[in-house]
Amino acid sequence: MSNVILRAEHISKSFYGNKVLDNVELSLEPGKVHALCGENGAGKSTVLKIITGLYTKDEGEIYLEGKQIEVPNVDVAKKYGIHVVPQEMQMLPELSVAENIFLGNLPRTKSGLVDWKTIYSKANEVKAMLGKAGDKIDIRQKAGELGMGAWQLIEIMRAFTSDNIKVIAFDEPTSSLSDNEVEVLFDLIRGLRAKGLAVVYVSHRLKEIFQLCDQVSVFRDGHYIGTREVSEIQTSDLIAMMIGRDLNMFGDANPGADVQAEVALKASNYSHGRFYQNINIEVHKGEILGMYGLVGAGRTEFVRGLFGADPKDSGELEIFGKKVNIKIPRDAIKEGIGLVTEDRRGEGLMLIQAIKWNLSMTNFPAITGGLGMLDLKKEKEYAAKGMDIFSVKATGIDQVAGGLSGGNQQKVVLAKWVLADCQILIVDEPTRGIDVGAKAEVYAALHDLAKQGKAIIMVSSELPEILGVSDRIVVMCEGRQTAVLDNKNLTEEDVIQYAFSK
Amino acid sequence: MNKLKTTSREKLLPFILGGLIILLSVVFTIINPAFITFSSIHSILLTAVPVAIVAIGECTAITAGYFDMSVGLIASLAGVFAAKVVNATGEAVPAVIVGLCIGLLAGVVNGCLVSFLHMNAFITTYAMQLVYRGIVYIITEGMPVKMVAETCKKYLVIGQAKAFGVIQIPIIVMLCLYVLVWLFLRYRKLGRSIYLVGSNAACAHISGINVRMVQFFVFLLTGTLASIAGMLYGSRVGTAPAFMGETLCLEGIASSIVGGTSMSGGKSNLALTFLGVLVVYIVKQGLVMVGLDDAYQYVATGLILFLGVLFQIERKKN
Repeated sequence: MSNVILRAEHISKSFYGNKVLDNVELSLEPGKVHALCGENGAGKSTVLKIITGLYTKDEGEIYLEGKQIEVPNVDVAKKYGIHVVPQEMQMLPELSVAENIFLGNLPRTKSGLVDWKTIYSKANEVKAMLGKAGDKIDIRQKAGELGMGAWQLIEIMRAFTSDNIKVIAFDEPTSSLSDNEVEVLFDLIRGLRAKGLAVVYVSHRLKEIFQLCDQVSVFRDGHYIGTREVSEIQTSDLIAMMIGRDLNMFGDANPGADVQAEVALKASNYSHGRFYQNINIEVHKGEILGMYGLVGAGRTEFVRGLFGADPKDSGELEIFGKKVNIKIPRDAIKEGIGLVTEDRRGEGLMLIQAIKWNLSMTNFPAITGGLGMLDLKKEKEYAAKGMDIFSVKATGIDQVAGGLSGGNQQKVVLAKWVLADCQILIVDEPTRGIDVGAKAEVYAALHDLAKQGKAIIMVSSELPEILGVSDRIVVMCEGRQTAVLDNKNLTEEDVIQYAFSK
Repeated sequence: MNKLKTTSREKLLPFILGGLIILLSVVFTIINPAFITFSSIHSILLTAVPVAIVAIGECTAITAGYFDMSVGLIASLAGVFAAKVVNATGEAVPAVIVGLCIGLLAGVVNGCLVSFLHMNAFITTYAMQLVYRGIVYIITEGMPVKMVAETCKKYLVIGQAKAFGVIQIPIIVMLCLYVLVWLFLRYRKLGRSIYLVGSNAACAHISGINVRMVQFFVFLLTGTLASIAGMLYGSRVGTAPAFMGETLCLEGIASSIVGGTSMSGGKSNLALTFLGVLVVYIVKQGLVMVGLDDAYQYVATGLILFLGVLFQIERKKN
């Protein structure tokens, strides 16, 4: 224990009377990557924000190298050598990388003007500290021309401008990165660890914890559950700690069991520019067709093309044997197709509106009464039915959708299509950003729908999910369809080999 | 305390506005007892009619995610054209039809530019407003169009006659429009769609709503309502002013925002917009009856809008 650099004890925090952290603790050691793990709302991000000064604690003590400290804000935290790469990055896209690095802290000449020479020379210095990861960044480039991966590097460079770095915390750093960028980031974090920094790492992705981290602390419902050495535990142990019970996440999947003979959707020769070319798929009633590929493989673009959400160049579509022409989402909905988009908050839900409006908007006929007027009583019943299908946890159908947890939001999106009686459901990254417990519920819901004879196309970047849920798997790589596999005795390697270009 | 914060001010707003109206009435009545008489209340409502009707359109437009800056000049244009037709024919029906058509046409132009050519609504409608201003000037040479009482009787009666000998017709028309549009927003698919498009157009599109048609319709509505406002005003005062109160459009927006219409779209209540109009006009009338100069009305209206916006900012923080 003598090796602890930062220790937080008895930390409690409430928002509007809701206790989000209750007497939690955390010990960080130098030269270790320490994961904070838990379901959504477990408190892991709040812990990170309290030790880095983004939030203030209500109760508790923080010790840095044995001395008690207070971190009322980020600036004070930085003075103590505690830095954070937040989830919501502060970036001015119209300014150069160098200016963004020194944001709010631009070096000045004696006369008070901005000292451009120092900015660029210092920026190059901190860029050099990134090692290879920094190669692709030109410090004079506008930040807006760079991707999220590069923005994260800029955030890290901001920390490097300080000569005092003891702790650096990452909040869900990989949520918006491509696989390549993730690799770059991981190498960089490993480098920080080698330099003897204490790294805090918050992520939803259990796989990453095993790839990258040395220790893991688990939180549940605002309580501290425990800390383990990653080398000594398995994924199942971690899940058990997170949800407090054993859980077979993917349900009793018996691939192929519910698949019926009838073809629900047949797409031929779908192409759209450089995004995807010549895609052919068939989905049967009762089947879950997984679509796997790396980020940028064209899966999302393809399913959006199917649904009419994005344009396509060519392609023929048959729904239950009937040729149809889908140009816009309304056409697709008429044919009984629903799309659960990747971007739940942007396209899936009306965050500011009540659950009932979110549920009824795909099916106005169902809530229309005499004289073509909306029947608000009917709508209430309709919405209540929708909440029941997937047991959405909410205060009622009048609750605003934005107030729901990620998992419950996703259930509402699923329900709005199921209520509209969709026979074909396209789900794009259905479990992105939702916690383990809710994931299991989403999988159960998908299986349920397949049992009822719906045809489901599931796009996912998570292999365990693809293997755990699909009956058949289509693999895409750089816009091409590289394999169609029956999900029988497949290993991750069997699938992933088709996802990489050769 | 906590509950007060989180149960959102939306629920408190009707009480705040209602309380404000009562409070203002009491204060003005104490200063000048004539304030609470029937004729005074009737006159508040009557002067509020143009803004109140424009506010219906603005409330709907802001709900859908837009500001329509052209309504003031659409009102002028419709009022002037209708007056010209009346002067020429002495008939009310063709005048009203011409006026309505002008409102519709202006709405079609705005709607095409914004929803089909994807031009920025604020700038586009502002630009169109300049165009309409020019047209009005060309037609009238900047002079108000007078309507002679004897020959234009059929048209002037719309604005001046009293229903049941008590309430002047523009007030009745205004109240009917409020009820109709309120019902429309609440009980029609298209009305609901206006809220949905304003909440999240991308999500509405994916969910099968014809976003462009909804936006287009909103401009038709604001344009038509503006033309009604313009004609009612002209027929009431017997003159169609070349430039109806420059402030018509802004006061309509202000009342709507004071009435809790969310400036980011998707949230509004037309009934509260009406209360917003009342607040603005009670203050105006009150200041006149208290004996203050016209100039103070501008200051007061500005302050009310300021408070309305302030109220919304706070709401966002929650």
